[in-house]
Amino acid sequence: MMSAFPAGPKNSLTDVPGVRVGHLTRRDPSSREHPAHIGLTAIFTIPPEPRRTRPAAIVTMGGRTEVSGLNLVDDFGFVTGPIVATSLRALGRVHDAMISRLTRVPLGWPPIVVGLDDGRLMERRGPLPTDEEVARALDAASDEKVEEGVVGAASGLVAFGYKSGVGSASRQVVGVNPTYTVGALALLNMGRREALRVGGAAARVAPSASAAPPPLLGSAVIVVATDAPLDDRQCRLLATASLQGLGRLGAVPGTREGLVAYAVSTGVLMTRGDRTASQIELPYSPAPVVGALTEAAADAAEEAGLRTLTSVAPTAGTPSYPAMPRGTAERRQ
Amino acid sequence: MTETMTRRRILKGAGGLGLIPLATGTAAPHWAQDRAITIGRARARDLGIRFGDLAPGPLNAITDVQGVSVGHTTIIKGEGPLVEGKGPARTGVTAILPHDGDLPRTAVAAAVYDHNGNGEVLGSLQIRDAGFIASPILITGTYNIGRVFDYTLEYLLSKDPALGQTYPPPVPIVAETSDASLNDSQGRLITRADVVAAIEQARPGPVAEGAVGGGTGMVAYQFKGGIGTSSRRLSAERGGWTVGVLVQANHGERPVLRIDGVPVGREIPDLLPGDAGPAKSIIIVVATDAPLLPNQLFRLAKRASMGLARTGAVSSHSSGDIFLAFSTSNRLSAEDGRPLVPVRVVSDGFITALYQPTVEATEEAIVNAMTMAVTMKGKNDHVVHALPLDRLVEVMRRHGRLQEAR
Repeated sequence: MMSAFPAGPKNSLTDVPGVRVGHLTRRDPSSREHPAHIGLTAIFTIPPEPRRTRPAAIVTMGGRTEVSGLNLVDDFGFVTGPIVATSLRALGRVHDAMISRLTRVPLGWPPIVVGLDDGRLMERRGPLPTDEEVARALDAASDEKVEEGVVGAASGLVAFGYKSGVGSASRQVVGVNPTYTVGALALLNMGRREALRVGGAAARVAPSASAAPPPLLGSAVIVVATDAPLDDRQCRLLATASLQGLGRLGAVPGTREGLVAYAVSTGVLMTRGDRTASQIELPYSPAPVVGALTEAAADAAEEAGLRTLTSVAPTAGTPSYPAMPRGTAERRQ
Repeated sequence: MTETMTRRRILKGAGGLGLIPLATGTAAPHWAQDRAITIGRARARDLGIRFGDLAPGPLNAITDVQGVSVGHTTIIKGEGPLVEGKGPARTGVTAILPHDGDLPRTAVAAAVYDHNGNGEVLGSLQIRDAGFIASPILITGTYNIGRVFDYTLEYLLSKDPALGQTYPPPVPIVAETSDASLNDSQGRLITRADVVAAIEQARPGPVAEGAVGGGTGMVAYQFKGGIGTSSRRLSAERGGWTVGVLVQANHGERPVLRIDGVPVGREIPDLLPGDAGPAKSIIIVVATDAPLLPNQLFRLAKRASMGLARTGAVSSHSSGDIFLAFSTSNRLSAEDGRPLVPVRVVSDGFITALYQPTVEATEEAIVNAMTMAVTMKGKNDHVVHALPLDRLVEVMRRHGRLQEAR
């Protein structure tokens, strides 16, 4: 895949220092078409200390699902805790479990939970995650290379007629001093098979007649983090750039499909409701640095998006939504 | 069943409130319980206070907008020290049904305005990006929102098995303000049946106000707050439309309180609640039968902030002030097979006519939330006093702002 920047050591969102990711996956081995009943993915970018915030932005294009916490992030320009992705059906339950947890662990307020419509594969009226399961996923977050494939929030997702999984990638922004890292994690749950583009060209895909339909409410979620110190407007620029990276794959907003990008700077740590001083000093990256970061964000998002398909093991698909055949992506690179 | 249960939950706590218990026997509808909780209170207009010069609709309520209905579940249970998960409970949920059609399958144009973002309205993304509402609007206590979202979604899915299978799943709208000063908020003492009851018992007609529904445990300008509503009906030459407002008022500090321009907060500086916690939040819902597009509704929702400002609010940093507006005029179906759908739209030159009713009805709804709310004793015997109506009338009269003979 073309990029002006090299991947980080893990080629993963967790190449950004301080970023931790945890999954919860509860499988149901009795069903092939409904391979998992519960999944969620939690991404931490803030240390577990009370009232910590970081500059952030959420940019949406045609959102048709739900992202809680949107009003706070939009108005205040910061995030206060993790972002958790899960099934749209489970959003309320997971949000409630986060409230149960935040009296014991600093998780910030309000919880940010993204819902994806996984009704094509998941049993919509099945059991929902318990407080204990959500707590376990939050506690399990680590800075190791993000586990990809059919795991966590991607358990029931489908993209471009294939089974999709968690995808992640990173870029080192060489050429600026110091060298910053941009990491991305993607969840794709949208698109007809003919829409898929790889490396700027239509992918060689199976005839569309055999492809199962896209989700009723499609969505693409991209989480971008960088250790470069940014303000919320610069985070917004990175989020927008990452959506363009997903657009290179053929992810397009529609009346039933939407894209959500979340970008956060781990280069700045603030305190919510800080009254220790009337003014504080924050680091800030000048324009040329941010220009390089946006390019890296688009590239990392594109690769993370493609990896949602290439990371799915050949046996991890379902009868209706198979894993993308090997070679579909490679032929075009 | 749910009616009886909800009622029983109220009666358990009634002694501590000095409420008159309802007659025992057959289940009373929810409005009868909510009437019991407003005994001795009055709406601002009935006290002789006027807000602006436009006439309200017949009910002076959001339900003056044809097709809009409102239901409350009020949960008042237990007294004394906080025991997390056991109470005392001073919470509830209010449901607004934006139209009387098939809700998840029929959408109306809507907008959300984030005036101060320290709050939550679940479902904001869909309103913002798609520009419509196809769900009941629920308003509750902060920590209840995940549950209320979950219970509402489950309820909607159970009523229509095609949702999520062959028809797009609904996204419930759930707004909140914090009832933590009176209620065991972390305990989240709200059940599936409470949420379903608020939705299923929603009715057009008069709307209970004060310490009811989602407003049960709320505090406004350091008086007891809660749910308030008001409306304005425009004359035929100004369009003939109705604008209705419902608020869940839980915001503001006493010194800034103004009613019809009178500095009531400075005139009645006593009766403060024991805890001087930060000012909290207000949710404002504006409904109209004027055919407005989402962009026009966003502009209407912004005007609600001007009605809020008339009561003295500054929308402090810790306040979650998020406003919704919807228009009942155009009902749209996601499954509409027609290639072209006619939509009515208010002409550009008539939009201003809708701003004044929005501002006036918002101010009046906020004041109604206070004049209709009773003094309440909550967790740890914490007391929040009602705005004393005799003193309010005296202050308004002294400032020449009371209509004596009606």
